[in-house]
Amino acid sequence: MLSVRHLIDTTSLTADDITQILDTAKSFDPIVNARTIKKVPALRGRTIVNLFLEPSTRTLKSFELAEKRLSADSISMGGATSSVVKGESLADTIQTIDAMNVDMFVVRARLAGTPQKITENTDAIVINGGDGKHQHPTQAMLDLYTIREHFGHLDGLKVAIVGDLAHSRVCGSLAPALKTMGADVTLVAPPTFQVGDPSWFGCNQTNHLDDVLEDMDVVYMLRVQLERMEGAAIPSRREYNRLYGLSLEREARMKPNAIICHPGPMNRGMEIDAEVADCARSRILNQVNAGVLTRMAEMYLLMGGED
Amino acid sequence: MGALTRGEKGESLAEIGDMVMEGACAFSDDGHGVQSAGMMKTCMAYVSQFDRVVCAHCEVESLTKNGVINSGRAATRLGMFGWPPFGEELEIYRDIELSRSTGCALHICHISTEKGLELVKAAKAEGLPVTCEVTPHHLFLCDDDITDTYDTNLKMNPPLRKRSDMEALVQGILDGSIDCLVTDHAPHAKHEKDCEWEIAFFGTIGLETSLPLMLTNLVLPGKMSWSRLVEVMCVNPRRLLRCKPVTLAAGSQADLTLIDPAREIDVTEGYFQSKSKNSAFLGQHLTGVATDVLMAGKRTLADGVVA
Repeated sequence: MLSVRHLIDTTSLTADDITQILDTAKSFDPIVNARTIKKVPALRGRTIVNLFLEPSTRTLKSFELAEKRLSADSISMGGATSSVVKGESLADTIQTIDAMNVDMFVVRARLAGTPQKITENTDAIVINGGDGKHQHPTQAMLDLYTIREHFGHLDGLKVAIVGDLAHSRVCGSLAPALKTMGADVTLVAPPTFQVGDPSWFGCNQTNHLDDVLEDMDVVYMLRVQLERMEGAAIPSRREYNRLYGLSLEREARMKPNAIICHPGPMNRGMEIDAEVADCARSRILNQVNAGVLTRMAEMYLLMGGED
Repeated sequence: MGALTRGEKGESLAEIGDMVMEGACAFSDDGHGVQSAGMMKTCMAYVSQFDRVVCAHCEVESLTKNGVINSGRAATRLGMFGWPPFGEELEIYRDIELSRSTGCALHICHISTEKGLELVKAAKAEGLPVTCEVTPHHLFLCDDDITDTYDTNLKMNPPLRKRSDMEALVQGILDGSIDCLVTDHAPHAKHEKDCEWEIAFFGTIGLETSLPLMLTNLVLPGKMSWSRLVEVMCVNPRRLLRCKPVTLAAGSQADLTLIDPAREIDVTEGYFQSKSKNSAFLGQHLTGVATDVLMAGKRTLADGVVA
């Protein structure tokens, strides 16, 4: 059992919670990745609503596959097709869906705090599938799984999270989760992309990628959210690539056993060069695979585990 | 109070002279700062020919755009755009210099930061005609009070600041450097607050809690004298608005508030006689309330009930 009823942020998770999620995900690995029939009856008869108020492809599809593999009944609805765009309030939307008696909401939202607000309007369990610039806890769990698979542990690892930190819910969840597991996290970004208070995450923050690169076990490149760059914070893609992009030259200076992660979708040639994205250190597709496993684990554990 | 600029757009002078002759007691575009320094200079120069004060909501909008919470830890923790203290302080500084250059009386609305207060103190020490006010929510709440429940009753403009700002403001109202206690009363319908933080309306109601808060936190513990309370809540605001002082004498008009300093209240939605319940202080237990109010000789509040 996890110590939380909902999965809203990683800040609320204990090291034991995270270990349970990663271990349970690992137990799903042979089912999903080795068997012909990639399905267990764990959530048979349970109803899950994927409420995606902001467009998403990979997160939504990852959740949908995880739900199918757990035998849950699930439906997905998006902001563009729902009454949300017609001006219905969040509370009304949730109460309407809730009246159909669902067990779980998976929520993706443009606005921070939306999943938390939803818990106030339903008895169902809520999983945060990314809220505004706040958190994206299920992304953090798949990242931790991927990193642990490679190193066998998380404590003591040195991890750099590089890129558009100020707009990044990925960083918002990953940095605290890594700290909880004993990793050492450095935030790297141009000053215009830095977080307001890195001490909240217990991290150092720098604008010198080249100073820290050679010391890192994991280099985690964030997507530059071109669509969220309200007010140009960098002058050009080209200059960003030169100063902060993970080039082959930079990749060559990394520790022998170090790995590269990216939450996707990538801007090849901007934060990461095409050859680097496909190199031997890259764990980007492993992350995608781990997404289904860890989301299965989260839904399974939140729904009561063995029950 | 009259608008300072036409339509409060900050672009051209309102008909200030007309309004003075029809009884306007002060001028403000409250809710917005006048963004152009040149326009503000024109406004203050024009007002300086009348015995009237300009009340300034200080906010450099190019710095606070999208800001919904204090910059720094709170913005990082909750994943939202920050409204930085210097977005307020820069305009306080600008308007003080414009007061110096035009001679126009300047009143800084709802001051929220320690540095802003220092600027006002320095102006006063120089003998400039500068005054300021503070709200109960900036005196008794800070951004630490905003938890991951995203309670939108704590969303206001300017935002709740750091604990050290709050403490400096309390010192300021005690030592006389802040002239007035005002509520910045902002009533909202339930649906305007019962939503995601980033799209919720700014503001809290304050009318029915301001006196109990001052009594509970400052007067009854002996930090503030009763006469200082009357100064900041009655005498100074009237002087600022060019209203005649209230006198307790035979033949004078009765404008009185009767206070029961021992009566205890629980701030619940049921406590409020206002239609709006969006109080930042819901859940607090306070001591000391107004029981009766006489306005122009008429009883408008009788034993705690609006007449």
